Amino acid sequence: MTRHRMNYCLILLLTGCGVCQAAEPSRSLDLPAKAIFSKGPNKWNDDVLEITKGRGAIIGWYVQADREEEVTVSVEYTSTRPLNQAYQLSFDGADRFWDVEPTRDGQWSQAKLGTFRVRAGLPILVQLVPPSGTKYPEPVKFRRLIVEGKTAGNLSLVTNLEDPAVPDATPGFGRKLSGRHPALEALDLRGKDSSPMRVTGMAMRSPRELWFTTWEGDLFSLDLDAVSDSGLPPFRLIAQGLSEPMGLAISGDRIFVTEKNQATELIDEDGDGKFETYRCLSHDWDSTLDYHEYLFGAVIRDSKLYFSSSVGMSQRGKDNYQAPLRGSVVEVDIDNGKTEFIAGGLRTPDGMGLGPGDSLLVTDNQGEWLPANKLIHVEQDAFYQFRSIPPWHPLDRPTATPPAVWLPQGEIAASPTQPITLPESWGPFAGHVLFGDATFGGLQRAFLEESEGVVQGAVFPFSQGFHHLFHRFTLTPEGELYAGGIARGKDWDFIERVSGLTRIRYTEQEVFEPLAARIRSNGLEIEFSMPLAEGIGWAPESYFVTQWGYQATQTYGGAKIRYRQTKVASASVSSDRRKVFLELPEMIEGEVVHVRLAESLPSESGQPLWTGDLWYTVNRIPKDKPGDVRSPPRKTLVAETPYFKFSPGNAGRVLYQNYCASCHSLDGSRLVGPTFLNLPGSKRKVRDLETGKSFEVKADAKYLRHSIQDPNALLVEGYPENLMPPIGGVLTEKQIKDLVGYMEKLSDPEFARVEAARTPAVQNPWTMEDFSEVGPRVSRETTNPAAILRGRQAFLKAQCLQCHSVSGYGAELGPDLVESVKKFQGEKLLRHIMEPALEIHEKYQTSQFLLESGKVVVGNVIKEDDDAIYVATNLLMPQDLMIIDKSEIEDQQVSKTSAMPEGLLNILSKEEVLDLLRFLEAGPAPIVPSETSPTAK
Amino acid sequence: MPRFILSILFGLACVSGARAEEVSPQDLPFDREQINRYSLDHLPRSISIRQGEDFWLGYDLPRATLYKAWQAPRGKAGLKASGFVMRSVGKALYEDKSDETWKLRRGGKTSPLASRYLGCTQREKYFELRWELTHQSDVVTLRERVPLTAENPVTREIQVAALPAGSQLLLPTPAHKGWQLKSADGTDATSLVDAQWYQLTTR
Repeated sequence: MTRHRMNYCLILLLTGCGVCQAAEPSRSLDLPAKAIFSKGPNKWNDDVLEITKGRGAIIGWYVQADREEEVTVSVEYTSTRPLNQAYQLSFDGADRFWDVEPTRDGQWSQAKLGTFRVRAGLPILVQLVPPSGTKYPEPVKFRRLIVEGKTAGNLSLVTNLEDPAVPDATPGFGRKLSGRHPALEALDLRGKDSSPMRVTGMAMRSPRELWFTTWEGDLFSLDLDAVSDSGLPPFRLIAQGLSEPMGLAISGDRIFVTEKNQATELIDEDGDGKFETYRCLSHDWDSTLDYHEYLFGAVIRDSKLYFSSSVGMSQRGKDNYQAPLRGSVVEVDIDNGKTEFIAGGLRTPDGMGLGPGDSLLVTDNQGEWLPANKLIHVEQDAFYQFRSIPPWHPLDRPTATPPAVWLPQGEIAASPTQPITLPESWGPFAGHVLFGDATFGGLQRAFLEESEGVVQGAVFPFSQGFHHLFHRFTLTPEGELYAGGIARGKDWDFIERVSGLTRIRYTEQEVFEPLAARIRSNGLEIEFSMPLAEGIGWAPESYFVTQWGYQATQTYGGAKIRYRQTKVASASVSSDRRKVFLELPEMIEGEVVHVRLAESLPSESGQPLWTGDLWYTVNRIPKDKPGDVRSPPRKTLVAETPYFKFSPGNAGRVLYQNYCASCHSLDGSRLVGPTFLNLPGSKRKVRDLETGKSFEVKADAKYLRHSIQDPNALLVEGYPENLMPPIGGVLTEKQIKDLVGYMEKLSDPEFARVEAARTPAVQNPWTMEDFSEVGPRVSRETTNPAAILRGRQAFLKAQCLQCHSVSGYGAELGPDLVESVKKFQGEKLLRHIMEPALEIHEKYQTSQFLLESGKVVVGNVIKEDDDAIYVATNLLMPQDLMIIDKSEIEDQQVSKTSAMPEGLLNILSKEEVLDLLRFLEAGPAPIVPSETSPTAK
Repeated sequence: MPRFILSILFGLACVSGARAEEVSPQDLPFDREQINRYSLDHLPRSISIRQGEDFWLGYDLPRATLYKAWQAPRGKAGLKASGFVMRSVGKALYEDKSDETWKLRRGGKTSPLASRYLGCTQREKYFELRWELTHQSDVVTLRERVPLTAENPVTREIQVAALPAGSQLLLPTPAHKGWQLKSADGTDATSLVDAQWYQLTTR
């Protein structure tokens, strides 16, 4: 993109956002505190901003310069006492630290914070960030910010940079997937009657022997040939007494474990099968007792062991101290133990793997100094920005190396784990990088490429729907993926849910999805796994594209900077219809481009997309590599309905999904934090950290808002300080309002139930009265193939196959629909869908069990033996069976409530509901696996 | 009938085979009841070794020294866990919280030695720790063995290898004061010479 064109676009953006020019042309901007956008638990005292708490507090200004020049930034402040840590000034990503000097007698004083070069044309964010995790008895007060340049009228304040409205979301399209990728088979290898396996390191000892370490410090072996679909896998304990192992690597006969404080080689000197020697290979860095100091790893390349170290968290909250060299990528010679620190500035790099070309990849977790999660392509001597108080890491430098791929928090990652590169046996995904997530769950997929020597790429949602979370991976030579999960802490219910071992097989089933994204000089080229349907994909409106930057701060997390919708100038489909080039004239380096595909883009064979999101990190735009802009053919299909829908209530739901869902359930299940079920309006027992007193509060809008803005202020009994991230420092005022509004609506039990069951993006609370035109049949005599195709997509979207089968394909928790539509059509068929309890076949009745413990279990009896009854309590997760010991049953009744949830059609538009009926009335046609689109996501 | 007996024998073989998969912690080295490699008290890098039923020796690995010897309360554990950090519980018999190092004496000159932990080995009768002690280009290897059962509690054995000619290895000061160093023939010693095993007992 030419500079001229870019400036034009930015001027348009700024015009829309409101640029306040100074009344008189001046070389400087003198900005009152009230012009600040302030986030977190800050307080206003008239026109003065007072900051006492660091965690989550951010103040900032967007400024803009017509031309590039040097500027000096100063603040007017008072502070009665010296602080034990420095404030951070982040100017367009460049950092300076400010030791706040006490001002005499509390008088106002001006402090010069630094000199920077301001880029022309872009809204530049100037952020002032207090020390994270610290609370001071007296506030630091701010009255104004002064940005002084050299050219009169060059600088202006940018206000009203509003986040763009985003389209309604469904799983895989703006929201986390909820189902397993159709081309993956998973076998849960957790022993039902054993304590949870918390897998911390994995490696193949031989082609069919898997070794893994556990959080408890044991090393197990698993003969993969002895694994069956039923029965306890034959785990064999082969070593013990390891200290918090977090990585395992095997090179020939040599076994290496990264433990809490050292890299260790396990040696069986006498060949008796027992490791009697634990050789300390390396411990050439300081350690403390901090719980969060781990060594994550590990991989071996060219006789070198590589692993990464995390920073401590306990001391950080007090004075920001880190033991020297924490947060490094470490290289150790496995023969002589020689240790090198090849990169620094990492926070919680919980996973290391070899990427394309045997490059080193690590992931890192959002938090202090990480506004979002990262997939990092490790470069020698690189610094990735996590800082503490001096002595700083020897590789620390003012400008950090960007990650290969930013992983936006809550959207595609929350705590990413080990990356692993897929082998040839994974077909179209060969060479792609998978990684897990310790809170977001599932598998995410990254496609990496090199642009003028810089590695970057895109991340895609890939699969959810597994029984536990994934932390470590290893591949067999045949391409079976073994995935281990772990949870910290003592909540054994939680640990059991998220820990374990799973075998994942790629089945080669063809699935329609965006496969890769490649940067061009003028946009992004998206490759699909199958050809698009003819005439589809040419409409720029079928791609909702946004872009933003990130700016790291010393407080937790961070917001999107310059978050805006991006113009798609054109969309060009390649001649084989497997690629679409999006012309993006506003694309700039240093930002993330998010492409949301319209759900209505089908493949040539009629398959709907499995997922429609991708996030591309633009580190380097190639100079002479333009994408192919083509004219659309005459026969392009024009959409009858808009590609995207923007519902007012959607914002809160998406915010919940992105920022809350990892820790707060909607269905009462215990996650990291309290459930939101029955939260609004309830009484909460909380304790005030400042007074130490416990008391009851009503969880009204004020309380919810307060908890978001200052999570530590009123802690719910049983939850520790600092457990909840200070998302108040990330969300805008409008976002907090939207989120609180959504949470308040959860006080409606029906709303909460539907949200919990499916959390659909769009709610249309259909009743039979809305379909008064539906008679004995919806379809006319002559069927409309297009309507049936749309109905088939609606059928899949409504997740009918989760419970029902069609001609033998699908689940058998409900009747085969081919049989059902022989009896019911039109209005009767619709009523059976909308009012499932109208008539329940004996086979599908729900039972209610009262157990001796007082617990009530409701669900469908799937099977029964002499000792136990196996009950599916959630038909949307039929694989999760609760086993009820018959001796524990005090009472059992058949429920008059159908196991089929009400409101399943609420995610569909009226046309979609009618098309769904037409599809069912028409047969429905058998759905065979080879052409089945994904079901639940 | 022979076929029936054969089936039973086959069944028993299968059962015993399955049991052979089950290895108890006592069958493997580094049973945490005896050897605990978690952090001890204030020391991130440390190891705790149980000698006999209720005596424990805790090592400060970076310093290559015994940090603490203690006796667990009667009938109780000598270590109390707080997460992955252990706390010594019982009667302290010896404690060294100093920063004193090993020293090399040569030609009337005494030099402090830097230490580097090399690892540990569990044998049937003893547990061995190894360090590298360095001063400039001099590198010596220190081995310390803790008999897992001992007639006299808190007994240790120690050996240095590759000691430069004409040199002697001196114990860190607190160890010198708190422990009796004896050569293999039972005579008292004040320093170590190359390749000989010495015994350390509390004074």
